[in-house]
Amino acid sequence: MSIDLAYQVLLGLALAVLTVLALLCLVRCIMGPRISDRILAINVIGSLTVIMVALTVLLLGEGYLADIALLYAMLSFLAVILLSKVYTGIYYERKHEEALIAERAKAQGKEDAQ
Amino acid sequence: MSEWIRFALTAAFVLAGLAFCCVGVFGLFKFKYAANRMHAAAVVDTMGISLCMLGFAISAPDLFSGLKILLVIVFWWLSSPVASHLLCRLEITTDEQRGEYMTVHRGTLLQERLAEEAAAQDETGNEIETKEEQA
Repeated sequence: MSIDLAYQVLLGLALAVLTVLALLCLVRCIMGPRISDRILAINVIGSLTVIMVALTVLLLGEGYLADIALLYAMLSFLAVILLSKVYTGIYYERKHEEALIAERAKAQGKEDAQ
Repeated sequence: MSEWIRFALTAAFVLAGLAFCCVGVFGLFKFKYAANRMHAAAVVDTMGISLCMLGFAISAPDLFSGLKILLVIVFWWLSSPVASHLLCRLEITTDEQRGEYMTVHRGTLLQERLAEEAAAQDETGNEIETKEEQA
């Protein structure tokens, strides 16, 4: 058994396991009852993808793919930050609108009573 | 022979990292709440990714790609806690039933401020008292 074949078996096996794990995370992302569960599953998919991209450095023997792994790590981090900020803002805005509507309804009720 | 030692080290690290990844993804399904699931996802983010990257860096094609792969670990260990912190803030801000399963320090969140304001406006007599208490 040559060393190249050994590497290919190991890396192919690892790639298959990582693919199954990423698909399971996708299931969690679809099932997740709350938005934070979904963002969390996306974060885990991102880290699994970084492992996969770093794995292709060995599988294809190309050094530049390490740069792509680093870039993908940055993009995944940015996506999680952005999504959590956006959904916090959406929640605050909705709360504010609800409070305004309740206030208006109360003011109208007082006018009707007078 | 040295190549086979290198391969054995890579295989050991990568398989250990994959085991940690499996445990983390299992935890995503095992736990019930998002704050608990965050704990399981941190296993993938720290041990899973670092052991796998260490294994890949041992048998990288050249020195600099190995160092770049190690740089991914550094970046991920810096960025993952920040992402988890923001995600936890989102969770405790938006979860209205979170009092049933976890306690959060009161006073800084808009959710509780709005609830207190609504309660103060309901009883107009109590409104002045609460303002005096805050002052």
